[in-house]
Amino acid sequence: MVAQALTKSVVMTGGAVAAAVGKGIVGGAGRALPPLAYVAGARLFASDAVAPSSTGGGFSLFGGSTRISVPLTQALPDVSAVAAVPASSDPLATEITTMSNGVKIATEATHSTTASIGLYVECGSVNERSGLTHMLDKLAFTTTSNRSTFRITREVEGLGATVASGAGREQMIYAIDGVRTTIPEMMEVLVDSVVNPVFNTWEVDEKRRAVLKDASELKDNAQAMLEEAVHIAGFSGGLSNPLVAPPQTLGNMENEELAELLRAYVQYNYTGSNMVLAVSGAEHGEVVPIAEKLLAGVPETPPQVAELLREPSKYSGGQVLLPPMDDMNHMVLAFEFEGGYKNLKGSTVMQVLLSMLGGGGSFSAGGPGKGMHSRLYANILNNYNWVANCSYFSSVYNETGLVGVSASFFDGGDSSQLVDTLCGELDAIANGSFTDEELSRAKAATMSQVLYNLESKGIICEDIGRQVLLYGKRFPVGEYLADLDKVTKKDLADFVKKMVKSKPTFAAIGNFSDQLYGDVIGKRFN
Amino acid sequence: MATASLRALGELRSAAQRAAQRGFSSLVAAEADPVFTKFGNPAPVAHSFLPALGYVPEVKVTTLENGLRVATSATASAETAAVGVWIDAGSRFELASDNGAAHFLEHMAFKGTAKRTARSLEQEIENMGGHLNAYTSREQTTYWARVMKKDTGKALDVIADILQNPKLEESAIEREKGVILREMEEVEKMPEEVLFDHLHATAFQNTSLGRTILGPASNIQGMTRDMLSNYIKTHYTAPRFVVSATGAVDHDEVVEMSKKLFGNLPTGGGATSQPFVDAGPGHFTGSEVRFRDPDEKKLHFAVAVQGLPWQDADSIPLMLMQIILGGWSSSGYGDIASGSIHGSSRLAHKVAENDLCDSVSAFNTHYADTGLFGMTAVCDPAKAQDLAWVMMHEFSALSYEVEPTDLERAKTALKAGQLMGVDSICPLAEDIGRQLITYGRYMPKAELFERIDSVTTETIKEVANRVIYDQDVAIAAVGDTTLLPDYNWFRRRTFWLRY
Repeated sequence: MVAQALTKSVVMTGGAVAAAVGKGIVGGAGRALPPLAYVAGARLFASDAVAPSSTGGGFSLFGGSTRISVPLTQALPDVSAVAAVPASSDPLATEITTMSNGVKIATEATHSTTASIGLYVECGSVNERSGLTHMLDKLAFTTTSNRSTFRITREVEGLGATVASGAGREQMIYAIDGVRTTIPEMMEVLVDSVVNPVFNTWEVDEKRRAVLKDASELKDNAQAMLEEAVHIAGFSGGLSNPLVAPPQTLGNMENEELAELLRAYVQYNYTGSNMVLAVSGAEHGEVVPIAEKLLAGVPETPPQVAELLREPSKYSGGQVLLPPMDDMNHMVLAFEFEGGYKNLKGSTVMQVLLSMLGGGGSFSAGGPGKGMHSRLYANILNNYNWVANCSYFSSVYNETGLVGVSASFFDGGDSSQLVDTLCGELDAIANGSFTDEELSRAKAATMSQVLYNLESKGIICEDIGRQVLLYGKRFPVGEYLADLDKVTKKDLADFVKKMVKSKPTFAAIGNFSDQLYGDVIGKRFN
Repeated sequence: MATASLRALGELRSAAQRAAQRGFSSLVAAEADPVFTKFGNPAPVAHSFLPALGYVPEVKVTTLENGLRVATSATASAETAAVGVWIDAGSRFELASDNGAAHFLEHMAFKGTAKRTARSLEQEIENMGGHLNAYTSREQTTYWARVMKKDTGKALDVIADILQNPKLEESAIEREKGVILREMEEVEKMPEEVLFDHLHATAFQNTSLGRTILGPASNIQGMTRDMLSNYIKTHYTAPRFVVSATGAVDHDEVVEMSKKLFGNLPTGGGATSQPFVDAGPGHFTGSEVRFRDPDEKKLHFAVAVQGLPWQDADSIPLMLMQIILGGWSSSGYGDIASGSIHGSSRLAHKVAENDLCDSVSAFNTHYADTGLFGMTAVCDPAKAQDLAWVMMHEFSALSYEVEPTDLERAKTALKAGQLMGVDSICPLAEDIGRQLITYGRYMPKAELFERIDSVTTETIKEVANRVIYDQDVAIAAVGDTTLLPDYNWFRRRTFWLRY
């Protein structure tokens, strides 16, 4: 059967078929004739096509065309295999070097053909209210003092690499992924574009337009709007700053003024102890000498400067209700997660809680494993056909966070009933009214997700970057899983009991009554 | 004039001074710092990537007595495993009367077996923190799971069970009809999906490749238990099954398990899907279909020539042609060039610079005996003609002029993409399963790279002459098609009248 397809892929060009040696390459000088062999579907020279090689190089002696005719179903003769690099069976460690200016270089020698490199900077919309974070995200990989945007684009393309950037409330991420043989090139273009930005006025102008477009599109994107609303409702201080740039401040600045502001911002924030270069898929010794040279010019973090710039954020709780944006009603009901990521024990328990709550969409693709037996799926989605989406909600930061549930439902649904039922779900967990099976299922789902994520080089890199920035080191995954396994029914119940005592945060978009949901929820738990 | 430029120069200087004062070397990059320009090269250079191939995990393949193939690729450090069954069957092997059966069956697989109820099946997977999923395409059906190391055997047991012993209860079939019709509504909301279904319908008209995967609503409503079990009987034979497992797996263990779990699968006379391909070849017909809707704000259209089958040696140059053509999107596809005007794709550059579309991209689809190679775009209806001109110009240019630098970049991108695409266990299992079905073997990356590296600009032109030059096209368009040029205009632009 395969043979029939085989006949189709033999081709003759320019009459130079006699030269069809050398790995089955059919060579021909001059312009190709229309490939008649295909039209006829005739079986020609199939044996020639696999004739042994005498040239080794695999290229036609006549210059011009070299065209392999061996179908993909057959092995190309004489391909020399590359000797395998043995994988270490020891668990991989994260190696960290701290430079004299405070920049940390953290690597894991993941056994992989590809490498992921990321520069993580500890700053974000908590530090500013003008939309600079959003601007910096758009301006990632643009002109530096050494490279034009054009050159950066072509260099990255020429490596077959992919780049990504991300702006968060507390972190900026710049990343490049590619083949491990190009680590020096990737590192160079990545670090250059982060530490030597120029912010040309014309590029600032162009990107500002893109940012303002995002801002204007926010009104069509209920989920993103809800995300902003819940931060305004839940926090006071830096965490309530908008992540999507506010048009009123950004729109009124001169280009040069904005460029100056960006430069000053980078100068103060992109400093030694605020930065981590994380790499997965490379040897530490291979990365450090190159990275040290590239990052040597990063200034040390001036004492107190970072603290001065950063407004302390506190959980406040509260309510934000916005008018309808689409044909659905959206809401988030959340409580304080005290301590945020720095609360290690709490973070572990929180992950189990999120898996147990689970949830999803009433119409979603995917088979078992998407949390069909999680509480929100079983008790909300399966019971109320007017609920379109219902799932856990979490927005966790270094020192505080929001944890709760989110839901979207069609008009005609009863918001008070839904709020009441969702509170009931949290109450049930706080009272320990869940089975051991549910707990072990939630743990298994969390563990499996963590382990699966760590099969991806990009996620390993991100994990290194975030952990080293936050804790100054990376916890071995084994330790984390052991902690996860130890989470008891009581741990979970206590966690939720404490959580629901905090003042509720309620953010909603749609047809909600004017009642103070926060108060209703608060009364229920206190 | 002179005053203006002097003033501009002055402004530039003072801006540069201001920047320098703030610690930024210069606005105008007069001198590049050698520390930051040691490795990078803006001109494309050849990357062999060969040393990286030492890190490619080994792939082992064993064929069982009944013809079922077992392929594994173990990763030493892995804690999770991906395991699944790739089947050489899909909607193109259905008849017009039961079109949709393969996809319907996929839904029914999760609705219980002789020894598992739907609920216990779901709980079994969720209790181990696993994920079980399936998809059906025109030529391939896949059921796969990802689980923690210790559960690989259980996962394969579940998959073997749902494939070989689905209960197919009449009542469950009735209930699932509604779910599939709902899914159909969702698919119909996705213009890209709809467009490609239309493109297949016109390009492969009167053949089974022209039909959709979900099947028409009337077929779904009329689906019976017999049609489903008949599909299983016809297509679920051992030589058309590939068990592929990656990550924390042991080859011998997976082989033993497969013998136990799939040993009773019929050999079906040892045949693959080829008799079905021969009985219903995917004839390509130059033709078009336009769904004119003047109220739609955007026009979606696709234009394609007949592409190449999977096995064809020229499909490698064709992949490079797809990359050379490239793509662009106003929101960016995620890679650095696709949202900018700086990328190397001339198609991207022209559409970006002239603001011709929301997105455009080249595509390349392979089937057992044919394929589709072309471009798809989303644009303002008023710009359709300019956009079509640029697209067809770059398309037919492949037969005449190919820049060596563009080819070099495409080779690097294809090779890097082949490594990055199988970077984690699930995509690797998919790659292995698909290759065993389409190529009958797993092609070593070293061979793939050699095939890619051997391509020259002349090869590209030759393959373009075979595939594009003076060939019939198939066109599908949805939206306000008033200003989209007519069929003969496109057909005429598959070649140039100059040399």
